[in-house]
Amino acid sequence: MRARIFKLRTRFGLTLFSGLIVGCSKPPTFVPQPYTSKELLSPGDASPREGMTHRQVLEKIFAPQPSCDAGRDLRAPALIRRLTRDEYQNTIRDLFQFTSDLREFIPADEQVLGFRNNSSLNLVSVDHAVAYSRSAGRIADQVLDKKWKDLASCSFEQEGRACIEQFLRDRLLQIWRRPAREEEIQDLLKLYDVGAALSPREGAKLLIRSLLSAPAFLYRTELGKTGQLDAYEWASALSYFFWASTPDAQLLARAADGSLLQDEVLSAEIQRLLTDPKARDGVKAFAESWLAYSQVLAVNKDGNKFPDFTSQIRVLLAQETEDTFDALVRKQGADFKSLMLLDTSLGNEALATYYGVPLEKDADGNTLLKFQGQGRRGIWGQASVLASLSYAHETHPIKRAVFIRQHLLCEELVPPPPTLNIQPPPPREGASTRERFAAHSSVGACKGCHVRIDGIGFGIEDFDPIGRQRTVDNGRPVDASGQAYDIDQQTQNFQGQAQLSEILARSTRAQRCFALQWYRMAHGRIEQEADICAIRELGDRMQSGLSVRDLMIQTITHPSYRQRRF
Amino acid sequence: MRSWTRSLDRRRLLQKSSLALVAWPLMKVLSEERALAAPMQKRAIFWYFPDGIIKPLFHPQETGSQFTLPAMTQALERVKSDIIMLKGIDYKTEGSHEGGAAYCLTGMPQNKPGLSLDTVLGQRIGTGSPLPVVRLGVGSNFQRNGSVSFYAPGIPSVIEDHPAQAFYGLFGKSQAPVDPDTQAKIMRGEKSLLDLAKSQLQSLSLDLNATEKQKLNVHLEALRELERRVQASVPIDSERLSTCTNQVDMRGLSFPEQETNYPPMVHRNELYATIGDIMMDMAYQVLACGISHVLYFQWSHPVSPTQFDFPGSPGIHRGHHDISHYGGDIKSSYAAEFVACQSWYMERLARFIERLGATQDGSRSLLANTSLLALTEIADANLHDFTNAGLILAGQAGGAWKTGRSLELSGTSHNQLLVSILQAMGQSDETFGDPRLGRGALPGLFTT
Repeated sequence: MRARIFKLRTRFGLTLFSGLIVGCSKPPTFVPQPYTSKELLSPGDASPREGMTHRQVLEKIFAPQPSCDAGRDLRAPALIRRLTRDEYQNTIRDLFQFTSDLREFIPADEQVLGFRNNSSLNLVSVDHAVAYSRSAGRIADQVLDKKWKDLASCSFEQEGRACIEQFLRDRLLQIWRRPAREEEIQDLLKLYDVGAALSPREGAKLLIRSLLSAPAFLYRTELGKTGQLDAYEWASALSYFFWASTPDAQLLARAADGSLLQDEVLSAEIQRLLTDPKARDGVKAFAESWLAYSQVLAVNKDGNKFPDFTSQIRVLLAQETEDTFDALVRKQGADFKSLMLLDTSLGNEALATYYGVPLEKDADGNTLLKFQGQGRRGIWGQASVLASLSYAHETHPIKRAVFIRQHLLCEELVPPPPTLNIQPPPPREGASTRERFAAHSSVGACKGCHVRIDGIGFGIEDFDPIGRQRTVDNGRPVDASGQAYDIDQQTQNFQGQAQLSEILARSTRAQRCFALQWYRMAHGRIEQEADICAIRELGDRMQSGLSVRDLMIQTITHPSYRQRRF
Repeated sequence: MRSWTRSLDRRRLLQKSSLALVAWPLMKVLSEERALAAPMQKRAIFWYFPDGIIKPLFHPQETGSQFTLPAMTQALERVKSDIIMLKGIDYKTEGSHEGGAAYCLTGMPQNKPGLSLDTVLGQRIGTGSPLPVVRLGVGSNFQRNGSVSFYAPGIPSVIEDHPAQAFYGLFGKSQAPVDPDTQAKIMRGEKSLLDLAKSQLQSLSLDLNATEKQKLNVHLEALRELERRVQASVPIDSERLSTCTNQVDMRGLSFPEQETNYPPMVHRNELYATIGDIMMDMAYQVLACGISHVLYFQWSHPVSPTQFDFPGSPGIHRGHHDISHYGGDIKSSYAAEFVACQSWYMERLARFIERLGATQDGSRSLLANTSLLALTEIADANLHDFTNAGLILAGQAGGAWKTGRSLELSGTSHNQLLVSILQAMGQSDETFGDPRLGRGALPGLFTT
């Protein structure tokens, strides 16, 4: 394997900007060098169109005037997608009723634009192959020791090959998420024979290891050989999207009799999937990527300065976002606007104390944190997000603004060019974070980019490095006057986090961006030229107050997902 | 709850039968009879430390054999005769921490996809050892921002941070010795398992377009490597060096087999130095026992969150990356704090170099047969620039070059340094990474 086999990628995400400039001292010689589509992810597309950069794709998606004619080819590329680490864990859990966590043994997935399910990066390296093999051995032992009688009604120790064959004929569909061909079953039986030369148990173990190392297990195949995903591919796509896990027996039965391809059955199945508690995992996978809130568990904080930011609070804050987002999406039918205007969340006594807000019980017995008395709005206004986007001892206005531009507005920003002499502000006593950062970013060379960043970041200074409301920073009164530069071709001044969230709630771009984020999640890849029209169409439906739940459904059932260029 | 033992060795692993059962067959290979590897085996080590340097406090002013190490590299004084301070080499890339990280071992600018040198050397010189390349880290997966090592173009390598799992993967052994007949049956099973997986991949591959096929090719390559390991005829050379013990002192730590806390024990800040020591021992054993001839060692990761207040640290209550932004004034107390952090890394480097130097390898020392490159992803920590990067070579690479020097290389491309290491390892390449960014070895480096 040599270089140039992959047309990959620039990694995006906040990390790119962790060192973003906040001060400059040289004249601007900066010409942004857009990444070409060749360097971007172009999975499954044998002939990516040359020349269209990711930036240009985004421009088309967000252009005010539509450029899509009816009858446009919307089909997605045929794709294979390796299970993410979480999907692998959930799949094993659901197949074998496993409670132990295997994730520690599987390498972490790479992130692209926050998403961990990017099918171009999630491959099987030697290290992955070793990890899968070890994990499969571990699972095989447990299955043979404890679970076999749940999986088969025969004993391989007594009946040998015949029992194994029965097991395969009964269970392989569920493990591989598609029917096995006869020769595949014969190959597996031969493998059993090889192991059985030692003992029936060694044979059975070898077989289970093989089932769990097979491409049919490790990859989701979305080929759509007939131009459309087949019933099993479709069942698998649905369950990994809504559950982040493998299809259950009922879904596979609907695939087996083909009824899943009928609209009424499909619609009923989707409602069932969304109602099932497992749907929490699917919704969480999106929320973690979109809001990056789970960084709150690990982000550095100065313990002397913030003694309240304990490890228990970190966990509760992550839980708050996870619970709230899940309830909004699956139970309350929230739309994008209500995600941005939210002024309550699900929490407990400890969080109420942390935030300094009242706690109330709602009609369903949930305990709600009431933020009405604080200038805090929107799911991204929760402390899990704001604390993640801060330094250990002070806020990070740049990081916060870059998050808003990238995650909530789907803008592509580029890091400062090397020719620019950047001087981040030195720590200084008696100056607020804003004063220090502003002094360095008002200079000409940096202004071009930072006009998009600073006005937004400074406007959120009413929340401290651990996400609590504040009025004083380093002995100076907080100035949270902000400017939302060029959102939907408008520049609006605002005061504090709440008003910014209100601007986002109204923003056409933010709504479309949200649809685009779900599109990325569903497809497991970064958008390309061929996706523009589908994303625009889904984005346009957001304007009429489409619920997130319906957006999920419409994204996965859209022709741009089900139809494939095989 | 079962936990990993305090001090792991192969015998103790043997007693842990349930663990033993899940071991990869590689472990069998490791335990088999060993043959002496070819004499004068060269080794390549890449030693990453995070977040850049302060140039005047890192590079000596002088050139030649008489030079004074400034504050940040002062810790290397005692191994001065075994290092080359490389001054003036430029990273030909952009893109802050991430762009620098993606470039510094691939020679590919602006996040363009490439293979890193550890991977390439693993393919070229690593195939004679049980593992082509070993990658160990200390907290390298904690918040993972940017990657330095790439196993496929643009795709970051997996780096093992977990001491017990690393040990198990490197030195573990699957079962007690068995009779040859049983052994043959086990091997046949492992081989058949891999054969079946390969044929399944090939069959799926028939249905795929070119891009998707490439994904499966990576997987196929991985299985071929596992097959090589199962069949390897060059097992571990664990008696070659008297210092190969197959043991690593776990320093009293006991790692839970199932983590329930966050962060997991391997990423707990207060254990950073302790786990660092364990992993350095592990890295040393990898080389001393001939498990691999190519080692990639990564301290933390770009934009490092390590709080430098763990036991044995300078006691600074901030994250490493925050500290690295020292404000630009090299005389300030902030600069002094960052110097203290990077000096801590240099002290570890000095210890590692010393240990390689004290290990006999044939008629010379292990260090004499090694090329160690210490590197970091950006040049000035505050500016994030890429000129005059912080680079140090250690070891004589089997006589390829003389150490105990400070070399002025003003304006040369880092790609040439990567080429130099390839050439020192017996390769004839004239370029590495993007060929437009530099050709040939660094001037004045090699012994002519």
